[in-house]
This record gives sequence, C-alpha cells and structure tokens, in this order.
Amino acid sequence: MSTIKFNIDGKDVEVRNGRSVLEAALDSGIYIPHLCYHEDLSPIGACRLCIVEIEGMEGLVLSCSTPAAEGMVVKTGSESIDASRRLAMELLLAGHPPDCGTCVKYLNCELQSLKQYIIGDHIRVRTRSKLIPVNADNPIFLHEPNKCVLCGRCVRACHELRGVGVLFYKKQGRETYIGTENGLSLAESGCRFCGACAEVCPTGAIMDKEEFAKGKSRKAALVPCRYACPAEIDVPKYIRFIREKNYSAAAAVIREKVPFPGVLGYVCDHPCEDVCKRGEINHPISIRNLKRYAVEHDTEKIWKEKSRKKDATGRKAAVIGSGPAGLTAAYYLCKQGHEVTVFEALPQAGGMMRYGIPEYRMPRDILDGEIKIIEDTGVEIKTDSKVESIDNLFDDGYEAVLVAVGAHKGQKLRIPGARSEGVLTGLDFLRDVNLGNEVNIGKRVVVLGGGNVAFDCARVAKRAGAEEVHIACLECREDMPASCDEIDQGEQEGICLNPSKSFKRIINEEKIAKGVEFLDVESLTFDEDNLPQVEVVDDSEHILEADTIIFAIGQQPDIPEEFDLDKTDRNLIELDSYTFETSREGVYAAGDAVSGTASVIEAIASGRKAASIIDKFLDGDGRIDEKLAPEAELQKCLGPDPDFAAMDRVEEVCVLPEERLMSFCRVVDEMDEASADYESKRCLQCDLRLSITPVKFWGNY
Amino acid sequence: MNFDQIHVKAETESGYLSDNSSINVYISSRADDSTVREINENFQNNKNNLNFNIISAGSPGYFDLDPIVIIEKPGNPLILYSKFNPNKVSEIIKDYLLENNPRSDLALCTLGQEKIENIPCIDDLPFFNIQNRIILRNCGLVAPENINHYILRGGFRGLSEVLKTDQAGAVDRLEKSGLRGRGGAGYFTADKWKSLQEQEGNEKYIICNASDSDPFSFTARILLSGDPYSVLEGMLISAYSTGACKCIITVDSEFKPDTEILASAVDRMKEYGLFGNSIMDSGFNCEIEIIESAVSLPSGEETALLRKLENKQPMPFLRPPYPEKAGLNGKPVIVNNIETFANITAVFQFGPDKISGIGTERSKGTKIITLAENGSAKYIIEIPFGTSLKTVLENYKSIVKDSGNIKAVQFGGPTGAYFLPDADIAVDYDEINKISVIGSGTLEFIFDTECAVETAMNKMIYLHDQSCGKCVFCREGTFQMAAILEDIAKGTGKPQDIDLLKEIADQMKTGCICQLGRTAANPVLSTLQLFRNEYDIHLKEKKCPFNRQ
Repeated sequence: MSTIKFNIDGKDVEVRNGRSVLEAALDSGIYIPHLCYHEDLSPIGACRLCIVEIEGMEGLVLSCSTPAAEGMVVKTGSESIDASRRLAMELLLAGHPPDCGTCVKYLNCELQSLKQYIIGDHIRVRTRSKLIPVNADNPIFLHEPNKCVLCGRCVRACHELRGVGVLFYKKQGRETYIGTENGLSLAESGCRFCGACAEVCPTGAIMDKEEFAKGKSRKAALVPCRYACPAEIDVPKYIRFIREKNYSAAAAVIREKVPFPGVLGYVCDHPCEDVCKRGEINHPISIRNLKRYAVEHDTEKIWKEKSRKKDATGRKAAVIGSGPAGLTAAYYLCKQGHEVTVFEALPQAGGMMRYGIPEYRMPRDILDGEIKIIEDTGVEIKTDSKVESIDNLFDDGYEAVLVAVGAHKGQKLRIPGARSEGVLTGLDFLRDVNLGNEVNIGKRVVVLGGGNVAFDCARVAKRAGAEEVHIACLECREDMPASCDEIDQGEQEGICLNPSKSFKRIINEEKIAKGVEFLDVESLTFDEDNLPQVEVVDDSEHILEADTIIFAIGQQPDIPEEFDLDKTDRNLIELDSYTFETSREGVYAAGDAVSGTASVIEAIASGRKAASIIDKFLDGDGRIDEKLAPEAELQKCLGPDPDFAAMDRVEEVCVLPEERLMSFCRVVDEMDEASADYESKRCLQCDLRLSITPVKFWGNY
Repeated sequence: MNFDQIHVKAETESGYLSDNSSINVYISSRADDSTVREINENFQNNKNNLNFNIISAGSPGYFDLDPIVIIEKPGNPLILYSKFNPNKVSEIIKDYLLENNPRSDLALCTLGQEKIENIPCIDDLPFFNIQNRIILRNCGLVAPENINHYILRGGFRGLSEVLKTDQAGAVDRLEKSGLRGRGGAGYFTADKWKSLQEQEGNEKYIICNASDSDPFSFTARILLSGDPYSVLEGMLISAYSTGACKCIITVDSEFKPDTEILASAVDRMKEYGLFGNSIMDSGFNCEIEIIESAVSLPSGEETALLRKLENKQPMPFLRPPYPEKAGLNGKPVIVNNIETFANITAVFQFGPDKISGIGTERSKGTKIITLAENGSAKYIIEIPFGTSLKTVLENYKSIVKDSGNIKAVQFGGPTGAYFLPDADIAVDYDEINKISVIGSGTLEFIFDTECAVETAMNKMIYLHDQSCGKCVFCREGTFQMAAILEDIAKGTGKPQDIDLLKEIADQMKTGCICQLGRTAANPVLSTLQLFRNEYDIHLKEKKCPFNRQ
C-alpha cells in the first residue's frame, strides 16, 4: 500500500494514499471538526465544518472532499477558518432545540460535542423552533425532525450504502426535513428497516425507539436475537446463509455454539423470536424453524472439517447427568483434550430431552444422532449409573466433577387429597411413558398447571388413551405460561382449557381420586418475591370429575445428600455465579440443577460456561469457541422492496390432529425450501448495522 | 440522405420559402390565444383567389407587441406589423397583398436593410436596433416544427460541414469563435469539448438543459418554440466533435406545447436521416432523447440536472468529479445550456468569425436577455456582449413610455445583483462576474415606489424557498437573511444586523455547494450598497419609509 507524507498543523504525518485531507488527519489522530462527513459515505461538503487552509490553494478548502497529496501543507485552524466554522455551526444550530439536557442523546450526540468544541453557548443568528411534528408511527424508529440538522447522512446511508433510497430531503413550509416520498410510512415506501439511517444520525433526529435500547448493551440493542440467545448463536449470520441456500454453512454457524442444533430446531423456546425486531413490523422471523430447516438440510456437514479436538491432556473429568447441560459440557471438555465420563442414572442418555419432552415434539432419531456425535468425539457415557457419592469419583481419579442432574423431581401442591391414588406428578408420568413403562391413566384426566410440561402431560395422556383431558391453571388464558404453539396444538387435539382456576382439593373416595374442586380466580398477581397472590371468587367452588390427576406445577432437582453440596432454599445447588464453583472445590454445577426448570438452550449455554471454567481448572485456556462456518459475505446493498414490510411469517405446518393423535409421530411438518427462503428474506439483517464504522468524538483524539 | 439530397427534399416540399415569387405571411404570438387563431382564420378565409402562404411561426420575443404578423412579399423587404388586429386582415390583404400599399399606419418596421416609405427599418428603431439577432434569427420567421423551413434558412449546413472534418478541426473551429457557455458561469465551450474528447470509448453524452429554471427567463422557451432545430443541430455537432453517442435534451414538464414541438422536430429529423445511424451518410451515429422533468431553480445546476437524469433528487453535488469525466451514471458528459447549442450551430453555419467578431475581448457573440416588469416578461432581445446595461435601459425607456421611474434593475436572474438604471456596466462575463452573475440574463426592474429592503427580503424568501436544502450556508443563510430583512423591514431590526447580513453573505459566496447559493446574497449585498440609507432609516426610525409594512 502506497503512502504519502504531508504536513498538518506543523506536524509531518504519513498516511495511506487515496484518503481525503480530513480522513488523513483523523487517521493521524488530528481532529478536524466534521458533521456531514462519515467514513462510509461519500462526502457532500454540506456542513462546512471541516474547512482547512492548504498552501497553494485559494480560500478555505473542504478537507472532506480534497484528496491528501504528497507534500501538502495543511492548517486546521486560523482566524478565518474559525470565523467561517463558527458561523456554520451557528447556522446549523439556528433551528435545533437548545435544551440538550432533556434529550435522550445527551452526551452521546455529535452535534452537542461539536457545539461545545466550536462555539459554546453564544448564538448570534435568529433561532427558531421548526415545529415539525415528531413521527412515532413507524415501527422501531422514532423520527424527530426538529432535531435534524440536515447533514444528509441518513439519506446517503439509505441510498448509497443500502441502495434502498426511501429517504429524501423534503420541504414543509419554510423548513427542509428528511422524509419519505409523499409522506408515506416507511413500510409503504419500501424501507428495509436496516437501521443504517439511525446508525449514522449524529443527533437524535432518527433513533431507535427507546424501548429497544434502554438498559441494553449496544450489541444487544442492535442485534437482539443473537444476544437474547443464552448461547449467543449468531442468528443473522445463519439466516443469511439460509438465504443463500448454503444450509451447511448455516448449520455450521449454529454448531459453533451448541452441540444439539437438531434438538433445538424442534424444541427451543426461542427467546430470540420474542425480541426479533421484525415482530415490530408484523411478526418475528420463524427462527427456530429456519434453524431446523438448515440443520436437516446440512448435507455437507462442513462444520466437521473445522471442528478440532485438542491433544489429550491426561486429565479426567466426570459429569453427572446426561441432559443438555451435562452432555454439552462433556462434549466441549472432551474437545479440550480431557478424558470425560458421563454418568447417567437412567437407561439412556439425554435427560429431559429424552425423558421429559414427548417424542411427538422431538423425534428420537435426532436426539440419538446428536448424542452419537458427542460419543464419537470421545465422551464416555455410562447409563444406568447413578452416582451416589462425589468422593468416589475423586477417588477414581476424576479431578473435576460437573453436577448436571437436572430437576427431575415433580412437585405436588399440598392440598387435601393430593396423596390419593390416581394423582401423579407430570414428570413421573412423562418419564414412565418415555421409558416405555405401562402407565395407568383413566378415561378422564385433569392436568394441573399451565406451562409447557402441563401440555406435554395432557397431550401425552391423550395419546396414551385418555378420552377427555383437561388442563387447569391459575393464570388466565392470555397469561398461560406455555408457548402459543403448545396451546394451539393442544386445543386442536381436543384438550379442554380451564384457565383462572384455583385448586382447592382433590376429591377422593376411599383414597381413589375422583376429581378436583376448583375455585374461580378473580385476580392473580405476584408480590416482590414473585410469589403468586391469588384472589378467588367467593362461593365459586365447583368440581371437575377425573380418574387421573396430574400435577405439572414445577419440578425440583433431586440432589443426594451424599453429594455434600450446599443448597439454596429452593433446593437448587448453591453456586458462585461467576466461577460456577459449588461449595466443594473441583465440583461444578450447571443446568436446571442450578437454575431450576429452564430451557434446553439455557441448559446448553450453562454447560458451555461450565466447560470453559472446568477446562481452566484443568489448566486449559478455557477457550471453547469454535470457528466452524465460513465468513458470510455481507450484502450491504439491500435495494428497495415495497412489499418487504408486508411479508408475513411462515407459520409452522402441523400434521392433522386426528392423524397425529394416533401415535407419537412428530407433530410439525417439514418446512419446504420456498418457505425457508421466503422466511429468511423477511430478516431485517439488524447485524448489518454493526458493519457501519463508528464515529469518534473530538474528545477521543 | 446526404446534405444535397436533404436540401432537395426540403425544396420540393416547402419551396415557397426560397421562391422569389411567393408571398408568405408569418403569424406569431407568445400565447396561442384566440386572437392569433382569429388572425390565422381571417387570412385563410379571405384568400379569395390570391395565392399566399400562411405560416404559424414561433415568437420573435417581442411579447409587448403581440400578436405579430410579418409579411414577405416579392420585391419588398419583410414588414413587421405589431399588435395586429384580426379585423385588419381583410384590409391588409386587399391593400398590401393585392395592391401594393404596405399600410404604414399598421406597420412597426421593416426587417432587413431595404426601406419603404413611411416605415422605418428595424435598424433605425431605438431599442430594437441595439440587437444583433444571430441566435434568434429564425424566431418569428419559421414554423418551428417544419424542418424544411429550417433547412431552407440554412439549417444543417453547419452539421454537414463538420461531418466532413475531423474532431480536432471541429474543436479548433469552436475555439476560434471564443464561445463561452451561456448557462451562467461562462466556461469556454471548446475546453469542455476537449475534456470530453479525451475520454475513452463512445459512451459519452451531450446534454442540453432546455428549461428556464429562472421563471422570468424565456431563453429556452423562445428557442424551443421558435427554432428547435438550431438547438438539436448544435447538439449533434457537439456529439460528433467529442465522440459522443447520444444527445439528451431535458425540458420543463410544465410546458407541454414546447415539448410537443420538440418531439415532432425530432421525428422529422429521423425522416431526413438526421439522427440514428450514419447521419447524412457520414457513418456518424447518434441518438436523441427528450426527457421531461419538473424544474426548480437549483435543478438547472449541472450536477443537480445530472442527478435528476439518474432519477435521483435534483441536488447539486461537489465537483470533482467533473461531468466531463464522470457525469451521468459515471459516464462522461457535457452539459450545456440551450443557448450555447444554438450558438454552436451558428459557429458552424456562419463560421467562427460571426461570433468572435462580436462582443468584447473575452466575451464573444451575443447574449439573449429577457426584460421583465412586475413579474412578467416583455421583451426577449439579443444583444452583443459589451452592450452596457445603461444602453439597454435607456433604449427600453424610450419605447416603453408607460413604465414608472425605474429605481434599479436586477440583472442575471433571481440571484443577480441590483444596479442603478444608469449603471455603465457592460454585459461581459468577466466584468459582471466580479460583482454578480450573468446567470439567465434576465433584467427585472424595480420602481421608485418600491422599498429596497422589502425587495431584498422578497428575493431572499424566494431563494430560501428554492434552496434545495442540502448545504447549511444556502439553506440556513437564505433563511437567516430573509428573517433579518423581515425584522428590518418591519422596524424591529437591530443595528448589528447589517454586519450579520454582510457576514452571512460573505461566507455564502464561498461556503455553498453550488452557484445558486454562492450568488444568493447578491440581491442583499447590492441593495445594501445602493440603498444603504433606506436600510438605515428602517433601523433608526423603526419603520419603513415607504410605509410598506
């Protein structure tokens, strides 16, 4: 790369060729005020703040659009530069609101910083308020034209950077503002909601609405899906590969963070979708289904090419429990070169993925395949091996132990009749079904609880032969904690919902359960300790008859006393949340046993963290991150698309209820390629924004 | 078809123009109104057995004298009848066409050198005689869409000549004429040609700005509706000389009739093999495209015009890159004003001396000037460079008696400076550019009943409204000046406002992206200079001495 030398304010500097005087100065750490200039946009010379004097050139020269040349002698300040710059700044501020203190952009505003740098507070020109109304009608972005100083960056970002071209300089009365053609909404005008405009705006004129940014890190605010994922899977990146029909690369992106991509494609509770910004426009991207599509169409398995296992360290680690947390930790510890053994009390590995989640929600071959990969990596899984004592493990030469036993102990409410025959806990019921044990359920089943486990129980009961299945819960219909899919599919399968019920007692005759007595719930609130406060409707007692009553109201870990671990008052393993260490040295814990019932993805994320920490304990570097996918080439130019905003979510297609109730076959149908393509094209590509060069303020020079 | 074949075709179809025995009646008016139609019909209906040709011509630019009838009768010079009354048609047919009484009572003047008793020659008429009509030579004397008329008046000879020379020779010829672009800035046109010639490939374009972005100016409209072929010929000459493959002519979408004339002119050229493949059998290929678009003051600026052609917002951009290197979608172009192209045709039709022999040392040829009063154009005249504003105004006053006392005149369009009516300043690029702009060449009067501060204020409000809003000094500078002038005009100005006005004006001269912003302060600075006392009275007495506000 060729360089040139020139002199700026008496200092000799050397910069790469092809830079403007302004860029060359900034590259050399010399600040020249600038506003309309942005590293990624073409210079337009509109703000006149970056003027300099250059020997041999007449007058004041725009440094943003003058190429730096060998031997140039540049002055960034002089009486005439200061006078001109000052007036330009005054004119920029003439129509800008004067009260910086009340602005959300306060202390984070380029204009405010320039104002301090150039003029302070005294303005001689006529000031005014532009009185153009704030536009909060668009999703995601808030437009406050009164704060706009017409630097034109947003217009250039929209046109040059993204090729979308929906923002223009417009006039209203005597004021110029930035807006769409004919005042159309962003959606109508063909906006792609990439956020480049907001990213380059130096003032608070175009901003993300406060709810998306408040209290969040910059990355979490800008790319919420990725940072809402406990494992921080790079969602936009794999959706990008799906769009390119490069499914192997997409699967590799997912594999970089989780060893159970296939399982997650079926059962992830997708916190990413809850925060997806596309949801502000119409509905979130169907991220989980796209993940499943990518993983199931990963024919080349390119992730394997780059997946590395370090040389054997000769160190031994034991993992108790083969659920998602345990197996994830085992997998990564094994890849770090350690000898890992997983102890599983039940006959098969998988934990809740096998013994909690019904097969119709997640086909077992997917799980088996992914466990096999873990075993193939070198992890030894000992099933039917309940660990009674950690001491024994240490005695056997294991230097570190991870307790990832999950939360398998179902709970019952302490209401009269709860011990009657025919009253089960959900987990016992599901485990028995999944073990292939015979389950005795009656014709009428009532499941108590409103979460996903309750639905699992109800739907399994239906498949196991119950004729009438009810779900009853404290929450009202809208607030039921189960996912919408579960509720919808459950209802399709004929599950009767009884929301807003308080359970008074189990009716029994000769200790055999005959039904549940309910009270209607008037209101349900939670106090500061998150304990439910229930108000019931007086005299609303009524009875729902049933032969089998299943409690699905939560579960707890079952930590043997012999483990000698401190526990919380919720019976969870007490853990230093930073070091993941338990009360015993060399003993770590992860998954539901620590957090209480959570999700597969949270268990996996927890297993990853534990693996990293245990690796360090075993003198490794703790770096378990892998680079398995190729770099995605960012298509920064999106182009306009008037139909983009209207593209609606491709909903999951299910097998017909009457058909699916016949067996434990999977409920969701395969997504076809056209749907995957369409869905991937709905993505706003929020991460594109991260590739825009950040602006440095003068204080940083 | 080569030029000779083209000429034969024109002669066959419209031989009356060169036939010494035929009588031709040219009827024209700025507006295609009922009076003109009546005159036309009356001539048609009163022909009796007399054989004469009625030609609907474009306006010669004397709007104050409309409708105009020019009669060409063998043996006599052309006679121009002004403000012609339809009722007089039968009389003029009987008295002049049939008999030989030219009705001097109805006539304004003769055109050309010959004289007729009692009718003055135009060269002896004050005001009209300060002109040298080269560019407007055909306006009023040809049917604008009739290609035969244009050919028989010497059209396309220049093109046929240039097609026989090489590009270097063509540039030499243009350079000899000393022609400067008439768009306002006054670049030497030959220099633009050279730059474009140097660019490789043939994907280069010649672009004609054929719209009057200054609403008072009539240059584009008078040429489009009076002699469109002279513009198109100039574009083809430019294309050949620079190796361009296409000519694009942009017109104001608001003036449909002009565009229709232009479109039919282009169609006729196709018939004569004057565009497309192998023009005049020379092997030179060139396309012509007409593009209609909305016009605003900044849209006339060449970089803004180019953005408009790229379907982007018409806003000026920084140069470089210069259009001759990367103009339209990255392809090299020349953008010239319509008047420049008509001049190019003249250079190649009459030889470079025709232009270089007129004008001043560095401003050669003529300039079309629009004279406007109270917001409406009265005369479009063509004067040699070097003519002083004083001469134009004195002459104008001598024929327009009913005007009030002229207080000052704004020259150069909305961003031009004001001058006192007796200003002895020559219309010359270098002279005028020192203080102001030649711009659109419009002269607009203000009268002694008008307040200078209010005048300047109104200009600033207009200019702020026209500002594209892109750069801070133009957008906010015009706003501030308008606001300060408003305060002064209504008596709430402060003494330090004058300094602030001057400071803003001064910074705008160099701080704006385009010529509009850079010259926008001229009306303020010039009124401040000429009428400082009026400003001071407003400030001191806190009211307008003209009681305007």
